[in-house]
Amino acid sequence: MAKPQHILQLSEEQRSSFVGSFDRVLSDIDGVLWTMEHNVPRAADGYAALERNGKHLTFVTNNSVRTVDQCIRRFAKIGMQVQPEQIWHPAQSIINYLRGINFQGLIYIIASPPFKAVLREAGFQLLDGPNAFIEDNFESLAKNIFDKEPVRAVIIDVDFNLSSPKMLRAHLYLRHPECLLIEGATDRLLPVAKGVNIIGPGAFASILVEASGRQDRCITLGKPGRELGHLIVEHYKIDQPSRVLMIGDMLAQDIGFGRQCGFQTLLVLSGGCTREQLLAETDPRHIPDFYADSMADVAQLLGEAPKAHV
Amino acid sequence: MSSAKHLKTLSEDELGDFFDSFDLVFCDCDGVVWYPLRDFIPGSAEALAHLELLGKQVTFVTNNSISSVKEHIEKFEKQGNLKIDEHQIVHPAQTICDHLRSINFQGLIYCLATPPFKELLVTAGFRLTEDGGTGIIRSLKDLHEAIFSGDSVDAVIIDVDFNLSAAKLMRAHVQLQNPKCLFLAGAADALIPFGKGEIIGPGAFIDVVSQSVGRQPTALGKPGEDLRRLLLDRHPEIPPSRVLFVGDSLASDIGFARASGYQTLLVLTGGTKMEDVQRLPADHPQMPDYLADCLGQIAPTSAPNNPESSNSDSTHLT
Repeated sequence: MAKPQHILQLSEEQRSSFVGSFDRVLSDIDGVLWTMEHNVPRAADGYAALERNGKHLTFVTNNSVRTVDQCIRRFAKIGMQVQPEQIWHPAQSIINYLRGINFQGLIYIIASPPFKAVLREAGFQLLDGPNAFIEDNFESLAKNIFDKEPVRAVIIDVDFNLSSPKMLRAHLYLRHPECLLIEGATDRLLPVAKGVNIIGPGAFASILVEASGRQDRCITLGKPGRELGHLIVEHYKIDQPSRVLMIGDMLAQDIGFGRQCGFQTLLVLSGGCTREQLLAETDPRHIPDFYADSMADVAQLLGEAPKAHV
Repeated sequence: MSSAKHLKTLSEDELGDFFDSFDLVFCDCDGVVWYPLRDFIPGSAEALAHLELLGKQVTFVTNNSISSVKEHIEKFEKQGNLKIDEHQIVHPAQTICDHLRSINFQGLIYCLATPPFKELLVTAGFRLTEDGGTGIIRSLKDLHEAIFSGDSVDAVIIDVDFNLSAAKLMRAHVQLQNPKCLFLAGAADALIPFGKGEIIGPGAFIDVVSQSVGRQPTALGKPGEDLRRLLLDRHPEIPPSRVLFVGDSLASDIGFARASGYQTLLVLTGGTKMEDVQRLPADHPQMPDYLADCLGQIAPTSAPNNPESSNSDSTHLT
């Protein structure tokens, strides 16, 4: 198994071959451009250098809790001009997927208000809740989870108010064989500060996957979802996946996604993965081709790289 | 053992051998003695009286901490005309309480369970931290507060909590990252029978915490390992092969009991249907030794056909 190479430890020749080996960059956002605590120094320079070298930039995030507008404003603050269509996030990917299969049915959704707003604006009919605490007894539970509405898709993403009644209700809709199970963000643990993780949405989604026996039939439209990969490949008409570089800070979500799609992969250590975790990773599906301390290294690499490929 | 024998198909002699083969009965309650949260299942009171008449010890092993031990005893008395002793009932809130006493636990507890469960602990003198986070979480800041602002605790307990939330589980997970914080679980069913089907049980949520934190809880409800050992230790004089475990759940009762080497009897009045048993391969660890439409069939004379079982004509499984 090939060990990942640090991009600043490449030889001159390797550098120019690397820089010339891709046309399109797919990049994660959180942990790459900024973290919960600060902006990653010189990250914007890294992307500017990529664009200067003619690479197409697309951002693929698992974060639908903020709106695209908020995200674009944050980019602007660090000096980057990003268009809405350059940003892929689970709510939008789910809309694209549902339109692709001409989905018309009723949806039960466990997600954040911005996520639900995006789907409602796109014309989808949503049910949610219970959105308040229920009485502590089985009668009240029954009232809150049994429902005869013809729900044909259950969607689960990040919901700060996720509750057991919501999960139980979702599971009951999934008894219908035609009801789809669609998950957005997949992270099982979310880094919120240095050394502090909280349970992520993927852990809750996996309860629904297992309870409904849909291990093979869950549609995943956050990274590292197979269906998300198909959408992106189709949308950009990518016929040479190896000429795409996936950049991210998470081994399972970003590197796993990139490798599954046949992209090249670059891990940055500015977010949810430490050098030790990278070196300890044994699953070949999660080992990147390259790594860097942060996007600042990409700026440095491209600043010094010969422009032989132009 | 490669098949489940239906009690109805046993000859007089076989039935005699069956009754001679055990001294102690562990018996589930919901879905076995009574319909969950409702009345006694016809015939079950007679069956329990019959077991007593035969001189069998009977201990009830329930995962239901929503009713107290006292309420269980009152229900046996009122509906079944049966005198059941406190020590004959094993239920998660009680086993957890006993466990905490046995280790002389003095600390603060974060308890994700129903009000009766918590009340039992408080009455026993244990201190529970404020639940916190009963409001709607509107921002990351609210979430952060719900997870991080409460007291730090010395034990986390998870059982059935009707209002379990992501924030509560995240707080539990953060507390459990302290290796000194005890992790205790009560009822740990992955699925529980409810209405005409099954709903997600507390086991699924316990697993999320346990996988996230990377350690297993001390599990004192079915099908927990620690409860399994506790039951074995209660009757060291009786070999496991002379114990009959009666239940309605393949995972929480039959699989649990077989891991201890008990004989097992599955009744079809609860969460398991005949098709579920028929789907199992013969050597499956959840395959029961015996089957009955209802507990009443244990009483040889007056066995009524279970009114809610659609499988009353089913016979021998292979």
